[in-house]
Amino acid sequence: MKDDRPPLEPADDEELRAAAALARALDGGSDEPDLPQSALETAALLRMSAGVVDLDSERSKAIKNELLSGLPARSERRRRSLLPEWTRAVPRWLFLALPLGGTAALCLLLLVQNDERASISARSFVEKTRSKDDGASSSALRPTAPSAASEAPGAASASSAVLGSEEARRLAGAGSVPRAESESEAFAVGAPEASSADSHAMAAPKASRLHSITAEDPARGVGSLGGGGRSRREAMGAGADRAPSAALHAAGNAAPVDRAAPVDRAAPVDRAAPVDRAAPGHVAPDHVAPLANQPSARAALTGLDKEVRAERAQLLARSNDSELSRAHTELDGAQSRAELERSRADLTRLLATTGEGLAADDARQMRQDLYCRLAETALRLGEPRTALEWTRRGIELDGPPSPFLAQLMALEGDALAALGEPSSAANSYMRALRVHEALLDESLDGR
Amino acid sequence: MAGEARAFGEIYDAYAERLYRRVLYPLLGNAAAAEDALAETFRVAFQRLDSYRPGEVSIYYYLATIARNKALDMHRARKVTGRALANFEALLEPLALSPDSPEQLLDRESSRQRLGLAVQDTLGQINARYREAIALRFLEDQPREVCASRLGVKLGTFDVLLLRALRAFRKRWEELHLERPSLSADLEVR
Repeated sequence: MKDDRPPLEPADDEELRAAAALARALDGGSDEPDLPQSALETAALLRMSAGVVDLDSERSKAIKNELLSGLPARSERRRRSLLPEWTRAVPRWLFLALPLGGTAALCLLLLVQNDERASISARSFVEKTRSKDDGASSSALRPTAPSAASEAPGAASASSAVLGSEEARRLAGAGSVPRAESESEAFAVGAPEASSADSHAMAAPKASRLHSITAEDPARGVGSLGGGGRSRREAMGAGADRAPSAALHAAGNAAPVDRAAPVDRAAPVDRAAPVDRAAPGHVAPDHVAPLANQPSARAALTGLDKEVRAERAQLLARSNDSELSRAHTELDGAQSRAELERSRADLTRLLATTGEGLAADDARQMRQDLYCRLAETALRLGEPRTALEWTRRGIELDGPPSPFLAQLMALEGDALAALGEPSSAANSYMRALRVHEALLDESLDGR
Repeated sequence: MAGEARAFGEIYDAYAERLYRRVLYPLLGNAAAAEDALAETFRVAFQRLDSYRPGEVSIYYYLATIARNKALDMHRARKVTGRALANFEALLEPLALSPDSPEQLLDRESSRQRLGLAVQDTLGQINARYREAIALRFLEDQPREVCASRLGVKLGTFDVLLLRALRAFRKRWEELHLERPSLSADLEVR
């Protein structure tokens, strides 16, 4: 029997493994196959007898405070139980959304009716600016988008509704406003029409999209989408390809992105370099900041989720890592806090081994994807600071534009927004949009 | 709301330490896991307080039942969480530190002194070198490096020595206090 051996008799391999596993576990390590369970139990008994594992008052207080901060949840639950039975089947957000939506619609209606004069002025302003368009641009617009002409009145009324009568009058009076400037204003306010017509949450009027894709660079029109690029574009989801451009325009159209300039796709996105505010395509944070408070800023990246999933599926198929696949599947299905925490533990453990034996590019992307999932989980668990840390670790892995890199930046934005830093969040969203757009360029070029 | 928080705070202060020491730590053998389970126990208890019937069971029984279930959940999820857990409730049984029902815990004043005496008694009956290793590592709570240095051995040797010491202690403990060895010990010997 092993126990009867003299204390320093040489150990066999099995005993060495068990001793090492026990030492790690006693120092807070994880469960291992070689861990001698009975020895661990005995150690726990001995520690308890010595009182070294007692719950100290500081820790107890910290747990109590954490619990107390979560008390409102129960109060809410109790209030809800006072409501009639049928209301339990209705999602809670509807109780807030319906009255708010109704109020907003009513306000919009009143504004449109009361400012009829301003609306007409704004319409005439749009007509004027349109008449200044050159023939080539108009002809490029018409065949591709038959609805563009009929859209103008709606866009104008929406503009007037959002701008208000004073602003609309000012714009209508300024007949000599240069086209680029006036259009940027129109882009900034024309969101409602585009959103409802497209079922796309991003603030992007059809006309602006057409300008970004067809008018500015006719060679990149919808019809010119190459076969190789189509799959990625489809993976991005309908409209997702156009959203980044639209978002950039909506955020600050005074400096439109130079889409004709060649894009160096091999070069990694430089996030540490100082921002050149004079460079074309740069959007000043002041213009961007309000976007962080709008769901549309994040919604512009919704197509990204789909692409990330598609890319993940390909990576997992290449790696043939069943454990990682299972971990992803479990997280996809996780609902409760316990399930999320289990998934997090699983993914954290897998971080150590993910990518082993794979090509460097695949390995990096798989790790970046894991960081995405960890950040996503932390956000779902209400831990934005942790989420921020995960995203930054993922972003530090660098590499050329990829859906995972864009997703990490978008999640970084989510975390910052949750931490009450809207300007920083907006910057992160914009970086994500730029990476996403680089991917779009790649797909449009059929690369 | 303020009243709720105060009442909750009072319940927590009255039972948290006891739940941790008598229910959760013996079931989990891992301080961090026991703390997590404690927090989860109170969270669940508070959310389900509407279902608590004061006339049927005591508040401690109610909390201890939830705590026990939380601990069992953690054991079930062990493969996923990767946490090293150890249920040593069975080792405490003969000392009446873990009675049959959580209700009894409230009335029965358990004694660390009693446990300490039993441990000392068992330590006195194992090899002196094993005793020293256990005392340094667990009773004095010294780091491995210090223990190895004090015993004049390398770190790896100390790990093996400690493993053997724990096995010897367990064997003697079961001989002294238990009628039959635990299932996990059986499995390990095999």
